[in-house]
Amino acid sequence: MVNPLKISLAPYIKGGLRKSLEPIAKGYLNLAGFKQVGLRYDDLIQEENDQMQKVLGRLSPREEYDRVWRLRRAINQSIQHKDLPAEQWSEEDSSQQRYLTDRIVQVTNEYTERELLDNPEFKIEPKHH
Amino acid sequence: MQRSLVLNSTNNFKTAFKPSLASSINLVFNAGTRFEDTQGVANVLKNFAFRDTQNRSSLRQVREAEAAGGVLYSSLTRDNLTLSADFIPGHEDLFLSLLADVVKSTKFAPHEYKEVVKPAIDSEVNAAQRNPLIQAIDAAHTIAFRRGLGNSLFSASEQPVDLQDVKKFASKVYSADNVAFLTTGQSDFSSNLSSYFNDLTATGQVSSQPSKYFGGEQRYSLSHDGHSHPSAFIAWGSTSPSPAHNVLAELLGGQSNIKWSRGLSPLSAIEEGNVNALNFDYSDANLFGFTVESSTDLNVKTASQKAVAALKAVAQNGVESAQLQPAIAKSKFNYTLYADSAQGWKQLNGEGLINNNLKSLDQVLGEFDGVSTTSIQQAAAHLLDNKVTLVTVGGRDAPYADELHL
Repeated sequence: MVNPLKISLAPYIKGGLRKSLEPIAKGYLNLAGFKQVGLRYDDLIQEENDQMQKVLGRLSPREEYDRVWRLRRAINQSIQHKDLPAEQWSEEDSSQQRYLTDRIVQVTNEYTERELLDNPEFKIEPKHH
Repeated sequence: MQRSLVLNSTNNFKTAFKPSLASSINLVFNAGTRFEDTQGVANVLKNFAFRDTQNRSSLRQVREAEAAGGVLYSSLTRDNLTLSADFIPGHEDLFLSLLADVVKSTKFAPHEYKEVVKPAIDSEVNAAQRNPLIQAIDAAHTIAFRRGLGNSLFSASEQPVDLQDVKKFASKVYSADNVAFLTTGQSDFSSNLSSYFNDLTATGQVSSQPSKYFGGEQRYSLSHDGHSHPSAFIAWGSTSPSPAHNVLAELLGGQSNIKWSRGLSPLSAIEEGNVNALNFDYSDANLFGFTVESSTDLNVKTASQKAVAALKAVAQNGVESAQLQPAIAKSKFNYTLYADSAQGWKQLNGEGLINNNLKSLDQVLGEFDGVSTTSIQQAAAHLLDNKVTLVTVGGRDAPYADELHL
């Protein structure tokens, strides 16, 4: 089963290690260049699978429009080999950068649950009278 | 009913139990379409039953029911919304906790509304519109009683329901004093109810406007899919339902007890079409009418005229007691059969318990026996005093109300 979020060690890195690694991570994200063309981190997630299609279907009309607009603007900037002016770069706010993550987790959980319940091992004990 | 029915009021819940081989739990809410504050909201709530809750996903509910050997379903009438679980005995606690989940913690998730609930509603509406008689009878209720009891049973896609309204309606009707618990099984497990439902809030019993009869006319064109016939529903309403109306339906349109025979009733003698008499009983009103179905519009018109003539004959000339007795007997039999069926038992007791007007079987059968030749003639005359409700599904030759020779 595909997990659109891929494997990540990030949740397991905590405390001092996290603190020391964070500047490196931020630097990497800036070097990656997607912010400079106005894209958010979650816009980069591969969408050619059932789970992501389902996630995208759950966006509100506004969110859906904005996403398509960001993608088109980014493609346009890429063709021109130009970055957007700095005030149009995508926001630092992580909840906006990861605007799909919660919904991806929700959908993956649904898929995992279906897989589990299609091969059930749970037991319902009947009460004897 | 009677000896088999045990009425309890543990924890102030209205409950009834009937011994039976298979178990079932039915939660009957005063939440039918007549209690809607926004159009179509009751139908959406019905389709939101057994969807994601805080403790169980929709899929989990279905799989658990399957694993334990049971079915879950919800049904809607103009008066009531019923959540039901039928299952083999031994799994009472599972199904009680499942139903409690549905009532107390359905999530009403926007994506679920869009992905699952709306398609279910749409297919329900489509199926209903394919059947001219369902369409006609639903529209007839609307014309006859307008708002309240006249609210459509279906949630039309032209009137999309906002999810917030569904949540609001749910929190209003899923209330401890608005529900009757009807259980069947090998032993009475009503005492278990309180541990699952005691924290259900009591926000007061919902109420609706008392019904009023209006009447009127509506014409639909028949969709030419080749499966449906021109049809008509001719009805008269009353806000004082009486057993005479049921007997009248039996007298005029009683079905034959013999296979392949059309029977001897006045309506079955109409050769132009298939005419049946129906009486829809509700808590504070009833709608008595004829369904007419035939191959052409003109036949529908002739058959409708003859059906109306049959009712007028009763109103003007009365009936012989020799005709009345079999009709009373048949009404009593039909009622008893209905009260004995799982569906009928739920419906009659649920409504009776919530509204505190539960009647015993003997009481109802006694009322049927009380119908006399004079009371049935009066009932027919009273119906005809009112403006007729006519819904036709057909072409331009389908009858207008003034062509029925009323």
